[in-house]
Amino acid sequence: MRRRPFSVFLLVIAIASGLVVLLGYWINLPALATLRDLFVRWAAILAGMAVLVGILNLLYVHWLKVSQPKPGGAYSLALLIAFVLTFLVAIVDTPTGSWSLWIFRYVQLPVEASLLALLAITLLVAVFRMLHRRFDWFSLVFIGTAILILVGSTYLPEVNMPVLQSLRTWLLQVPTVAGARGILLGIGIGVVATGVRILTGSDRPYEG
Amino acid sequence: MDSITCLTCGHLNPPDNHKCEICGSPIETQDSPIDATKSGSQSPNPPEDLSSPHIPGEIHGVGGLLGKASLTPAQQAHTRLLKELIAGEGTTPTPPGQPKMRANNLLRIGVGSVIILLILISLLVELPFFSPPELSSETLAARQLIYSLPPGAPVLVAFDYQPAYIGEMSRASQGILAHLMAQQAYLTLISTQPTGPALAELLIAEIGRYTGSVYQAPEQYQNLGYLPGGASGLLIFSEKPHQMTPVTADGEPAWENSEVNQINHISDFSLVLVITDDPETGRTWIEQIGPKLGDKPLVFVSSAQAAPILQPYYASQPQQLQGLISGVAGGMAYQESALFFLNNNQAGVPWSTYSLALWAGAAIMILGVIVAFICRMNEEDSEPRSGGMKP
Amino acid sequence: MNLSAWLSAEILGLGFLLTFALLFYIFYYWKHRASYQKELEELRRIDAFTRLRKTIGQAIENGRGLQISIGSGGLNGIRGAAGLVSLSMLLVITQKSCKGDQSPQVTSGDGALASLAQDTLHKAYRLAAVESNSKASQNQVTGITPFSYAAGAMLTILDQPLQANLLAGNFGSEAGLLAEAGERSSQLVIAGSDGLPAQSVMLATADDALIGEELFAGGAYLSAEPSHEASVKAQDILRWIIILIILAGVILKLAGAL
Repeated sequence: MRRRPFSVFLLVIAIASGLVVLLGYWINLPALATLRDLFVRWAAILAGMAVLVGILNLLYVHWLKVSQPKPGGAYSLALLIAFVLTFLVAIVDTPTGSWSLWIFRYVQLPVEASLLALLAITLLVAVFRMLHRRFDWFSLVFIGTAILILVGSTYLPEVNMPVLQSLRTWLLQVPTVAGARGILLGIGIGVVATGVRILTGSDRPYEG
Repeated sequence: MDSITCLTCGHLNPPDNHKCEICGSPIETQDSPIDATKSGSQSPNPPEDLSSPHIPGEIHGVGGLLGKASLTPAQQAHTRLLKELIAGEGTTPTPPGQPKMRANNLLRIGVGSVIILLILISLLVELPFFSPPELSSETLAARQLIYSLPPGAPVLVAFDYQPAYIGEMSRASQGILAHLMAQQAYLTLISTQPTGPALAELLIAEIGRYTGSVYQAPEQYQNLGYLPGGASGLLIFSEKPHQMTPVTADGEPAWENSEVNQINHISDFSLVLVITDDPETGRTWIEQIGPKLGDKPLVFVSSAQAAPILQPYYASQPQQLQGLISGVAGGMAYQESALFFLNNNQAGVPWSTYSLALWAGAAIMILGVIVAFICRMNEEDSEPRSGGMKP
Repeated sequence: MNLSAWLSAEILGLGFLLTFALLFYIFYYWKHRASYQKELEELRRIDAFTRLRKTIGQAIENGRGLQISIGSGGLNGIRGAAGLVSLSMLLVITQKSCKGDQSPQVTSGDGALASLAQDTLHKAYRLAAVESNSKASQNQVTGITPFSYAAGAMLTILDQPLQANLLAGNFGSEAGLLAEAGERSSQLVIAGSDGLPAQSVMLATADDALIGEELFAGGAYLSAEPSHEASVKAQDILRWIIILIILAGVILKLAGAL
């Protein structure tokens, strides 16, 4: 398939940037190191701008819901109003000023903490669903391990539980760490593979 | 008499049946016309007039073309069947009634109610049967490092956790932060998350309320704000901190105080403390920034979910992590061993409430296993299966 | 023999990278001429991807959409790889489903990832020659922090007539909330992440979970393009090399050589 000229240009930029940064870590050349640092600094700046892009996308989607009558438009309007208010407060009072922190402490923190609490309930209910879906040794070991970790985290003075705590410690330090390391190694290989595909131009997510 | 054949389905019916036993269609023989009154239709005259107005749509059109055609009883039966089929298209069948609340929702409400109730009860009534957690070697090592800091030592504190984890992380980190403040360390706060600077300010202020000595910026700490770029940003910051963060989160010039104006590299800090809930963030700090610290210690406060991934870095030779406080238990153990820093106050949920909630969670899981086992036994009793559980 | 000093992290890293690149090119040019179906049969069966391929067809038949969450990990560091893999999967899924009644919905928690997702959607529609079907509202950033992203994506799952949800990318524990929302709406949930806490949560809450590095094989299982499949094969070889090195290290350590 013939590539468009602009795609080839993007491909060259992507490969060149990646190779410069990669080689800059292995080849000790001052010019290469300078170029590498420049690209990494640009990446950091772009990452900061990406947060703004995300916020603008969020606002745009909710603006569409408000301007075109759609279900949930009232909630989108509430979001837009809340954004404008918070933005104005942060501009006037600075992001770490008392009013900004008041909004953060009494609005965002309780909401996010509640979502995590909801997740805890969700995971407990998921145990029932998991057993209903597949009642096998795998599920029982999975749930048994979870129970052991929970119970072994507490300390009952009237009930001597050295066996439980030792078992928990062994479970965390041996099979869990070993399994986690294995998975992380595999993920690391996958990361390398993805990077190589980008560097060789096999994957081109930037090509619109 | 001979049996009568149903012209609709072909079933042989007893001779005195007026309706077919199988399909319910009116029974007529090949020789006799349909008895319209018995079938319940409107007054027809045999042969049935297809052009009559009560036949809708295409049938009417077809009837119009055929005019007053003479149909055999079989054809008339088929026509009637077709009419009944088409008549049904105009009406929407009522869907079967849905339960007002699904079983999963009931379960969710039940489990949530039990947990919340237990927590509320334990907050009102003191439960003395949970001992405080023990001090682990990695937590002890962290404490010893803080003790060894001279007054005014510059310490970098990274707040790299999500707002959702505020409950666990504030409990885990308030002990060591209070200790740092008691040692009069100069704190430089930073975060690779947009919400980190606000979390940092709130925690510093809260600890100040509990210790009675509120830390002031910029004399005792500086908040450098959000550091974008993840690992890339950290790498640049580690080598050129002034360039990467020239101003604080409030827009004031940073690095002005005497304790920090000589810092040109991350290894110039006396200690780096990272507070994180995510194992990947922790690995980034240890693997990317750790080598740049030289002989300066790196200490972590992590959530319980990240501790198994980070603990090997403490146990490794050479050590890549010099201290680790993990989860609420680690934070509580640190606080118990250095409680005077907090004037005997402990912010957040008591240890007994936390322990009770853990036990309640375990009990609910055990109940789930029992219920699943009973349901499975009932299923096997009603439908015998070959073999037991799946491998 | 002081192997530790000789085998620094940089040397090892460079060695692995070059080894992988070599294997990748070998498999890429070797398999390049092979047919699609034959190559797909050679990969081991992963139920999640089998089900996903069927679900894409069912969604089109039923006139329902697909929701694809690509996570909130951004493009920086190790997390970026999971996001890039999810974009590869998004391209294939969109190409297959873009002519249906409902366009796929994409949610993300990062601006950079959302920008690339927009490019990917546009490319998919262009390749399928239905660019007019592309809509800007298909692609949403639903939140900036992981849990706010999950809260926003949950609304998309609950409000829209969807056949299935694919969670593929960098997630934390908040993936459990998304899976739960899918279950409450009786939608199929297939989930995969590069994060360990997320994988354990997905195993308990999703209908099909991708464990370990199975997520990184997504491109190969959905499209079987030569480059993706070559990558999977090269990963398998490299995995065996690492196993042998670990075993050799254990033996040398026990023997006192290290």
